[in-house]
Amino acid sequence: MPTDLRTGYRAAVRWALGHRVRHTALALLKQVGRQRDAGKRGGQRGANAHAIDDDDDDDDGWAHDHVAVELVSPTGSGSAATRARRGRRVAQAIQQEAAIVAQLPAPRCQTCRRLSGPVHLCLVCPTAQCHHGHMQQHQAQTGHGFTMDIRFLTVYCIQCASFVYDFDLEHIQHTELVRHNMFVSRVRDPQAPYSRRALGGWDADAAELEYIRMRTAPLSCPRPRGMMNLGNTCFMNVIVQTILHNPLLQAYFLGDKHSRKTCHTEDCLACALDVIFAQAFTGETTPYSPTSLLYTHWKNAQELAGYAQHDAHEFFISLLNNMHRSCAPTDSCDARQCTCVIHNTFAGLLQSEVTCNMCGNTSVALDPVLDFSLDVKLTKKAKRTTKKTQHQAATLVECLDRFTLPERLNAGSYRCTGCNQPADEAVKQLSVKHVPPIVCFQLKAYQGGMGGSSKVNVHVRLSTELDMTPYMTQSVRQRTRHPPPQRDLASGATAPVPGQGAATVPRYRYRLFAVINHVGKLDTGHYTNFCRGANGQWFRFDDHHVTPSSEQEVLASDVYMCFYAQENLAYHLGRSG
Amino acid sequence: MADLEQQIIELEDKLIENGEHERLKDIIHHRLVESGVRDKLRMHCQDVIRAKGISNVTAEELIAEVTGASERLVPDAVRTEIEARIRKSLQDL
Repeated sequence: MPTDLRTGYRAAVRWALGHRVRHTALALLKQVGRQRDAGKRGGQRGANAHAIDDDDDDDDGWAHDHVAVELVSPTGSGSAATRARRGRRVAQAIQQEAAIVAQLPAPRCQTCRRLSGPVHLCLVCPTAQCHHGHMQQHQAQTGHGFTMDIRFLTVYCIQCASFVYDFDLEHIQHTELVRHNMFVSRVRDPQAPYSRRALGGWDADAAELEYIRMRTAPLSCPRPRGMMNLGNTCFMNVIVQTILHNPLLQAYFLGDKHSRKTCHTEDCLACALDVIFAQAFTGETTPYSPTSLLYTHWKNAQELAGYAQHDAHEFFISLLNNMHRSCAPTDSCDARQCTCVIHNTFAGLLQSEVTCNMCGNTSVALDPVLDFSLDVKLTKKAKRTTKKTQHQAATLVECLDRFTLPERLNAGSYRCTGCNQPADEAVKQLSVKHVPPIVCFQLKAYQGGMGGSSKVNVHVRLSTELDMTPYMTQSVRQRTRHPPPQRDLASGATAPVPGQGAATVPRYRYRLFAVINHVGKLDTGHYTNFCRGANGQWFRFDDHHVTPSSEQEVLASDVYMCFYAQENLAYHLGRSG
Repeated sequence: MADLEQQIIELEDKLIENGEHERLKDIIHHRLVESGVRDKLRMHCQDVIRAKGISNVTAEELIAEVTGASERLVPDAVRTEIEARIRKSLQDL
């Protein structure tokens, strides 16, 4: 992108935006003119065209000394004279801007004098032409190939006959938009907070920085809304909160990608969630009732209807499947290739390789998953030492290591396709073939026993950051090829060497953003959850009760499900094979 | 004819000066969004792009294709309201 095109674009954007705020600038100049006249009539010294040094305390309109006091607080740096001077400088900058803006010609097409219809500005010379026809003539005459739409500030390439997007130009557009918004808000309300930098060159000196540091506190981020318990619906509330804080789904729904106004599906769960998103982000902090979602979900999943307690994970999977049904572009689609928001967000692919030790033949099966269910079992060694204590500990990384550990299959339970015999020895290896941008782990804390299943009391330690690289198929394959797998099998729990082969495998770094906890027994209990809100602040959700929390509390809690989001989303959004 | 165009330009200049031009544009924009015209038009554009394939459609062709349909999408209530509004701001000049 040549430099002159950038300056041309900046000028064009200023022209287009200046035209929009023209009446504001005119009003300001008129006001200043009135004030100056009043000053002259009062026998005070006249001000010249730009400098403002009248000292009368006009309360209406543009009261400069008042502004100066507001800009720098009484206890701020510098003497009163310096502060007043600084205030005047800002007021002067605003007025100069207004004078320039007021003189800008309206961007009419220079050939047909039309204002409506798409008018484009040439990025090379100050020319405005109708987009249809006249701009092409201009290009033919002068060879200027790039224009800007005055309404949307987008750059159009005449040769490509299409709009083009450039990072540098978009940056210019943003800074100019900020400048102009600042200008308008300063004119409307001289006391409005603003950034001096945006109006042109201001850097805080040491004293000012110190003042800012002393007098300011970080803005407390808005507290998320809690949700009412509609009768044993805490299993739903926790899942909905994690969805509300899911960066991808948040972008999807708040970006109006699924609008209940345009959707015609009956009992559409995505529409119900759209309602929830609208309710959750109104800025209110009073709890609300997610009745529409509950009702829609009852209609979609008859088996979950009623006021009984349910498993949050079961609800989660059923919600995702039903949402997929209402979001999917086509009815019959394979989960592996589906491009709906649910599968783009949650769908992963597990690869299970079974190697026959007799003939060495390997059969591969791929299994689409929406979440990863990990067994929480203590290693034998850990079990022995902690048998007596109530609370046993394991880490998520240990669970994942065990998940991808080669597993020896029982003799006779597997028939090899290579040698077509019941294999005596076969090794099964699980690995992650495709990892979704949002990874959900269910930590299976329930254990099937003799007299029914029971909840295992194991505390799983999480880490806020997680690297999925060692569990990807590529890394697992590299690992199993080189170190002897026999040793791993024998000890049963030796952690694989982390990071091995990472040089050739892209990094899959994840960050924790939501956790679901369960207290109580298997069939009865209560769900609560933690979510990371804006600015990285954690909150604890207990139905309608929302309290600020900390990372420490999150990691110390007893986890049932946890959600990780990929850190560098932009680079990995496409589904890799 | 030239006379009429000259008059239109003068009127537009006056509307620009008192800021009414910008205000009208804002109102029209809001009404179109509120009445769902923008959403419907976006869906329509998506359909056209999907039918043609993203790589063989230019902005020009897309505009040409949806222009007629987009005018029909504007609800009558919005149309009359905006016409009344424009008439009023012209009378107030």
